[in-house]
This record gives sequence, C-alpha cells and structure tokens, in this order.
Amino acid sequence: MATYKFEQFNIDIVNPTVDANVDSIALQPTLNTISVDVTLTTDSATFGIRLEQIQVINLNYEGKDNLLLRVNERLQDFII
Amino acid sequence: MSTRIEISTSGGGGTTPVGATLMKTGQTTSYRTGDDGDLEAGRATDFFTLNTNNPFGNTNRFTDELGGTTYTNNIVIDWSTYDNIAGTVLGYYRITVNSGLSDTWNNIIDICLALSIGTFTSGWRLCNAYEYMNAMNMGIGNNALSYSPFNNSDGGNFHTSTSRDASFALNRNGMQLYLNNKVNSAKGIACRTFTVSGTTLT
Repeated sequence: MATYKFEQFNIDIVNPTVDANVDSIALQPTLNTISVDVTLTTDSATFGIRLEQIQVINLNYEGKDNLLLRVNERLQDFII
Repeated sequence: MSTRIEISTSGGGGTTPVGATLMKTGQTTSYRTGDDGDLEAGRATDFFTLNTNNPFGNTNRFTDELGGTTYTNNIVIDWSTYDNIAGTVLGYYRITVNSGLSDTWNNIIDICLALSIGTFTSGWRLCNAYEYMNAMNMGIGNNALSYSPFNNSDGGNFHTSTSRDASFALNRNGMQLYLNNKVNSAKGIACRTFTVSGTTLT
C-alpha cells in the first residue's frame, strides 16, 4: 500500500501496479545508474513516467523481476 | 385545456446534425496532468466502444461487414464514422494492398482503385490522411494499426491520397504523417464508403 507523488501529475497515485518497459532501458555507465519507462496503473488510470537515476550494482540485464526490484527501490523516493 | 408543443425546425435541437465531435485517440496513459492520456478528449466511451448502438445493436466501434468479428474478407467497418442520415459508413481493407509491396504513389492509387473484395467489387480508394489518422490507435505506440481487429503490423512508409502539391504527398509512418515524394516507394491501405440499409452493407 503506497501513495506516490510526481510533480507532473496534480493528483496522488494510490496503490498502483508498477511495470517497466525493458526495451526503454538506458544506461549511465559512469554513474552506475539506469533509466527506464515505467507505468503505474490504478483502478482508474495509467500514468507513464521516465524513472531516472535508478542505482544498480552492475549494468548487466538480469531479468524483468530484477529490474522491477530496482524500479521499486527508486520509487520509494516518491512515496508520500 | 390543451398543451401546445412547439417544434423548432431551424437552430437549436431538432435540426439535422451537421457534424460530430472527433473520436478519442486511444491514448489512455498519462504522462502529465492535462495531456491526452489524462483528459481523453473526444467522442465515445473509448477507442473501441461507441456510446450508442451501431445498426447491429451493439456498441462495437469495429465490426466486419456482417456485423460480426470474424473478418473473413478482411474488411473492418468503423461505426464511429456512421452517418445515419446519409446511410453511409467507412470501411477499411485491413491488409496492406499490393501484397504489402511498396510502389509509387500513382501505382498504389491505381491498385486501390482496382481493388475487389468479396461482393464489394468497386468503390475502393487509397485512404486519405484523415482516414489513416482516424483508424490509428495512439494508445499502442508506434505501430498504430497493429491493434485488433486491424492487426496490421506492417512497418515503413504508407502513401495517403492527400497531396501537398504535384510532387509530394502525405505519407504515414508509425504514428506520424510526413511529406514524401510521390515517386518514392511506399505501401498503402484501402478504404471504401459503404451504404447502410438496415444491417445490409453494399
């Protein structure tokens, strides 16, 4: 149960289902971060964001489940 | 004592409709407050669902020419374009014409004009720019005709029948329209205006 707030949306996003588009991953090798397109889907709407500065241990793709773990870690920064 | 009822014949309600609100684009994901995915401006319940029944008695925006969903002839009728005064509706041949092969603008137009599908042996034409845009589902990303029932996932450039001038025509590629020289090769999608009488299309 989490509520997220992003500056581009004037409403809070409550208890969404989180997904990420694997094909949209971009690497920042010197920072050891990635960015990826993420959707947050609630009962009434779907919100799309570009999630930046996702810290990773290495830059190898280790599967969707692992990606979503990293995404959800980064999303903690937007919980209100 | 009687009640007098007046019916207006000009201006206001009761007149013949002269237009309709544009359809929704199909985009449902919002990237910021106030964008298309947020507001979903436009007519109908959603991209696929009318807010009133089509002549077959359901709210499906798309059916085949028999009102079903088998699409045996690969004809997709778009009931969002139904003009119930004129009794016409727009339908598309969902297969890329010329077996998907690219050709010049002139040749693709000729191929569409010669198209014969089932009992619909004439009346086909290359889609104009708006006819393409009308069918494109902007909610599914770049290949905007790859949704069911269109299922057209052909990539590349598609001629429209709409010209800027003698040399250049609008082309469609993915979600975008752009200008392309008419001598360049591109593909094409054909459409046709169907006459509707009850549940019979001719």
